[in-house]
Amino acid sequence: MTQARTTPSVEEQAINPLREGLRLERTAPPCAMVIFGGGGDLAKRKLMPALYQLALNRLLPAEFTVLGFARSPLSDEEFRRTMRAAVGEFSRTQPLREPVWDSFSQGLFYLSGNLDDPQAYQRIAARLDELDRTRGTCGNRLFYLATPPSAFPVIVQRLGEAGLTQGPQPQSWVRIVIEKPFGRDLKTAIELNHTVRSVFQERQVYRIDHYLGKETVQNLLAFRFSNGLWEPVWNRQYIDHVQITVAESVGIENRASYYEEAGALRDMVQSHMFQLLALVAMEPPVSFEADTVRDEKVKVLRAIRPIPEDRFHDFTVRGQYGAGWIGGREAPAYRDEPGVARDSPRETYAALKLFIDNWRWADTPFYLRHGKRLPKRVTEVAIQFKRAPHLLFAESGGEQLEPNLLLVRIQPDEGISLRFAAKVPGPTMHLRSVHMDFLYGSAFLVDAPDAYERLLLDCMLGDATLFTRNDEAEQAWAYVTRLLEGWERATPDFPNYEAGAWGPEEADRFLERDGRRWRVP
Amino acid sequence: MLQTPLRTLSRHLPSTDVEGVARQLAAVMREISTSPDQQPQEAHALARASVLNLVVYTQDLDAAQRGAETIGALAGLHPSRSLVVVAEPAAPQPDLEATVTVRCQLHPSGGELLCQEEALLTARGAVAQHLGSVAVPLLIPDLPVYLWWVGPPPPQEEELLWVCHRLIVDSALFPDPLAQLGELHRLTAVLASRQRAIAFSDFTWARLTPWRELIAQFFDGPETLPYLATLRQVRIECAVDPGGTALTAQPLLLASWLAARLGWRPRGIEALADAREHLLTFDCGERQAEVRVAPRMRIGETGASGEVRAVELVAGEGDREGRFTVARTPDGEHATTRARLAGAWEVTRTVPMERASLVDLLRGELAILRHDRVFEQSLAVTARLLP
Repeated sequence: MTQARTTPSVEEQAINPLREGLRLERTAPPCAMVIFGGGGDLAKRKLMPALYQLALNRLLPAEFTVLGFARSPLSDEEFRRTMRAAVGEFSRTQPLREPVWDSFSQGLFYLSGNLDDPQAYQRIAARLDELDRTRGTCGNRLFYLATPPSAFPVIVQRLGEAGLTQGPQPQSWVRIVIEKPFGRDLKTAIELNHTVRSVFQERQVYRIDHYLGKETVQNLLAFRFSNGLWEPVWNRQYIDHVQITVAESVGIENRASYYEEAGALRDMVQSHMFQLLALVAMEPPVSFEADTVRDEKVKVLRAIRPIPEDRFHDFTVRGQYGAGWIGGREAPAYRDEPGVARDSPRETYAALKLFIDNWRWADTPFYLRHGKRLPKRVTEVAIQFKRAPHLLFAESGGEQLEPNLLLVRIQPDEGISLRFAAKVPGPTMHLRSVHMDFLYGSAFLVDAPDAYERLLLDCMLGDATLFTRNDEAEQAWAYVTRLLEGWERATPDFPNYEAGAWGPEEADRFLERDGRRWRVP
Repeated sequence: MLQTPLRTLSRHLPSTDVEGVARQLAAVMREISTSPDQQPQEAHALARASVLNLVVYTQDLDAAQRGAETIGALAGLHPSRSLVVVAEPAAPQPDLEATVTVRCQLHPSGGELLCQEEALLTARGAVAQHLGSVAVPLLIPDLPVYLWWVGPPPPQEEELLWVCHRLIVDSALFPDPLAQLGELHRLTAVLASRQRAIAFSDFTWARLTPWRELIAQFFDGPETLPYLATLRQVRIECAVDPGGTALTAQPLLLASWLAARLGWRPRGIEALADAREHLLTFDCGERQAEVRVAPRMRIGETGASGEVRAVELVAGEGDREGRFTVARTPDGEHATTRARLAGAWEVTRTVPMERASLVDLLRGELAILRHDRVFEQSLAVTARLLP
């Protein structure tokens, strides 16, 4: 668990003496959260259930207030009813607790308007001032962009024009949360950053990548930097290679229009997987604070070796699933999914070989793979150590022994597992690989919070450690954009793997050429 | 999440010694791990995934049973080796009787057996006076030792205090809470002076945690924080049975916590009217503050006698007055809070606030090992309330 406290942000000045020593140190200060796209899918499936859960856990102050903003004309009461239905369906704790919801929903309000209408933002400003007076929200505002990404620039500009980027009181704070995808290539990412930065200061901007809100992802940091054991071997001297796998058994689930635009590389690799990579490979930060951690992450991304122009084939494999069977059920081919072009060149699988050119990792390959319609849903980081230099026990099974492996499982069954060799009891020297397992759920049997709960709370508390900084996003895009451009120059031979297989055969050969193979998770 | 044990093995040793108990524990562990349905070819070994040692001390066999059940319910959460000691110091002959039990359950992900070892020890006569010598050989080395002491605070010379890292009591069981919380405070001081850094905790203090959280939360915002400086009146309502007193450990600790955090110095404690209400007064700089502890008849309500039911804090006066209340709802599962700032706003809400079961409380205490300085400082205030 990462329990390290970050220093309070500059906005939190006065300290409440009653807070000291309380186990729930991290409760949010009074504030109003404006959700743009307040009636949308994200608000219904993720944000409102997360807020309700925070209220259930007594982590929100009584003054906490939500102002939903969207096009459809709804009254406050209708908005509350819609959200109640959504929370009833998507909350992770069931059934809904009526008394708690009733009082929480008294803090939900709604305004309708067009995202590009300057008048609407004046009404938002007036409503927020009124809520400060009637609900004690203290001028603190959290703007959450839960709209399609195409609307991000106009919302940001209008907020700036309406003077909503600064709070009404000197000690109040204003923050903006931007959902991914943050751009669709390097050029659009830079443009969006430019727009945002022309209105907000970087310290006000929270780019959310919910992967970083997952407990095990944070545990990677705790595991690496609070144990003296790993750091000495966490480098090219002892590690043969690293495999990062994000496998999904589902297909694209009614998101054809998004996925046809995005594909596996943009959807998963640029954001989530590069974040995992950065956490595994980064140098120890000097403290657990937003900028010290992000400085180290961005250094990793900057050190990724660019793929030589004519050698994309040696460093990447892309794939698209055809029809097949998963878990006893038949699955259609990607090109037969509703809304997908019959000749779509969009990849649903990507495997990469990366090198991080610095002293710690020079010449140690990092293999990343992500795919849809793989045999099961699993996310893991496997650190494969080098073999023992000299085998004493070659005749006793030693030659089949696998080298040491450290496995960090992120989902499902979060945990850490270490593989090592041991002697089978008996008069002869027989060796076997055994696993030493640490299951997160058995040592700490508390419900892990949902990633959005953690991240929303962090944002209200002014802790940006688990959010992506502009330079991180741009570095990741720089690599991915180059790769996308390389891929676009050739027409792929799709589909090239069956739904339910571990990706294209080419991906296996890709590792075999290096004398390695993919783990079967 | 809590599972019933997959396998349980028990052995009774009518009259034994410490070596006998240790041998029997090892034998039972071996036996349970080699029983027929444990697949020998499984690569996952039987795990004694202990993360702590737990010693329960009681002089009451029923309490020992309850303790053992509570520990059993935690097997999968806090795998431990536990010694439940029933002390009978008045018995004429020194004797040690033991029942060792190993309970194993399959880990939710399968493959692995998690086992919980428990020894129920009845220590009679002089043995009950030298429990340190009984416990030490039976504890797993390198793991923290938690001592759950059932009853009034342990005497300063108790040997078990020398082997434990954390002492857990329940001040709701103290017959004279005001005096015995003071005793507990003196014990912290004595142990600290002997360089024994034992962390103290109290189930009753833990029961107050949600109250403290909700009260603290009122003052997290910049608009409400200044009211703490003008806080002048606190009223704590406590559930009592007819004829009982409201001055139990819960309101005493809650009032002491507020005083300790706000830097109030205790002046005294005064019984009002028919001695059912009490007035605690404090000096805070130029002014005074008072905490009134009042009874609320417990008729047809859930929950225990002596439990806090409602707290009201009043700060400032006139158009600068702020009133902050937390009250448990009659259903016992929620609390309502209300903050009212004169001339500004008023916000109410309802949040979950279930009563914690003994299993929850123990689980919470076992999850932490560090000192609870805020608790120790609050105890110090309680100790100073008594003239």
